[in-house]
Amino acid sequence: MSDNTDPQAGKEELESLNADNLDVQELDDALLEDAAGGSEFAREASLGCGGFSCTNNVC
Amino acid sequence: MLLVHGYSGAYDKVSRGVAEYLMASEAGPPPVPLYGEWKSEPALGRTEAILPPSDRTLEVLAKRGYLTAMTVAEEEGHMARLIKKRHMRSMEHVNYIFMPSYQCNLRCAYCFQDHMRTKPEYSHLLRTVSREMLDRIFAAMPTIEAKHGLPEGHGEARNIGLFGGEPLLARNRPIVEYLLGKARDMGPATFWAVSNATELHAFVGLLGPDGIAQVQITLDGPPDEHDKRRIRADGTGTFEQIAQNIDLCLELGVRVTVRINFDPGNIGDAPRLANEIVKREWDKSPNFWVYTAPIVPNENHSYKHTFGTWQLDQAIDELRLIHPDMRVIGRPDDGMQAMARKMFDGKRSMPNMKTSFCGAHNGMYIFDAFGDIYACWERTGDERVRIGRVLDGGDVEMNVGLEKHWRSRTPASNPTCRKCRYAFQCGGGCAVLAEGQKGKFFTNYCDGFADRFRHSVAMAYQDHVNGTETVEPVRVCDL
Repeated sequence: MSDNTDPQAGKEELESLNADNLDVQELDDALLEDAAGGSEFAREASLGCGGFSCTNNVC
Repeated sequence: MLLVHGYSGAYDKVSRGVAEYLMASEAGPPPVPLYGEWKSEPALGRTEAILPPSDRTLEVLAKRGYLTAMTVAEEEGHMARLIKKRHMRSMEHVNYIFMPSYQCNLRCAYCFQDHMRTKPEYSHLLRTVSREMLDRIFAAMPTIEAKHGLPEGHGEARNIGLFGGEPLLARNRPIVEYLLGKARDMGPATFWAVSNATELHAFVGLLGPDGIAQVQITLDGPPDEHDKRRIRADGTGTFEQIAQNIDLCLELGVRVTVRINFDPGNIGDAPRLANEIVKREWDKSPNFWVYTAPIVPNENHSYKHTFGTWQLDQAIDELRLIHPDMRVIGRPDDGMQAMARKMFDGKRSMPNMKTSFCGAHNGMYIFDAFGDIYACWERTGDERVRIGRVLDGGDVEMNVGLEKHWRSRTPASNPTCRKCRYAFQCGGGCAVLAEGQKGKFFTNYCDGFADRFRHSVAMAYQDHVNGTETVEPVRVCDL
């Protein structure tokens, strides 16, 4: 967890709750690589029929 | 306040001052769709001068994507490129669904396939798949997998689902057994089924962790209400038979996912069904899970008589406050909440970023008894919409245009989703429902997603702070 303190206000301003090293500039590559969960992403993104909601009156 | 970044996947907790700074810094108000159900975003709470955060915080906000030098148009294009790139990656996995027959022994009023069983002009569809056709389909799999970059003999377990009609009719046991055997001959495989469970007792020997390991079964209320809705062709009810087969599955080590279809007409019966589940002690099994889904509008159910998913979430929340047993019935969005909770608990670093709503848009292949291949089980039984077919000897003939049509629907493929900050979490919504609502395939179907997402993340964080114990939902559609 990172911790960023505003020296003027003297209180916590930002606490990252996931992926401390995330850098939006590197999304193209990093998130597609295994080290950053790329393989898991590919598996989850290809889930069978819905992932969280088979929407229709199927069964 | 909690921040979630739409395409970087960052989750952050910030002071109110930082949140107000970001909201005041927005290039403009959140875009309003041409149509749809986007809800208003939380408003900026004050109008006086807002001071910027510290330099260090500004740096982190930029690194995590909340501040950008890109114009709105540039950022939209950037997100679309990310979606397309990741969508290509999502194509690396293949899922198979077999429909041994469109036949079913039930006549549920809301069934989207009802016409197949009740209108004579569709009776030709009711044949059962033959062994010869299964041989063809399995022979076609290496060709299909090669399209997705999987070499022959890849060794990855095949994910095979059974759907119908009713796939597990007693009279279909021999062909289902043959299907499982064929799959195993080709390599490792996992099996699941969506079944009405009225004839599961005929599948002892095929059900279990090494066979059909997970079954989704629908109950539509306590026995009296269920028996009005999920009826046999002769009008008789099915609850007790299904209940016996749920007991059987749990004894055999099968994971049972009960789905409950709700509309405003039966939601009031949910507590009685919860009581029934507790009375039968199903909830004590780690292999048992219940989730809910709204009945969606069709020719038998108008919009007036159906829920949206967000309405159903809220209805269940309200019932849980009054009826303790309702804890055993999952909300539609419990999965979304569980995923956010995992990040807050440090059990995963990134959320599941969806580049499409469902497998119809990447690697799902649905085979029917005729060897026709479909992308979506809502669009089956009509060769005009098949994406391909399996020919003699296992050759595969794809309809390139229709395949591209289905596989290219992402949030980047329509102008409304491209502008949406929830696009990567939602995936663009169901194509069939979008088409039904707006007459267009490449458009959004929001289903209250913004409200559902914000609520799920907020609840997950609250549970994380409180240390509330959670049970992770597992559903057949999450396989």
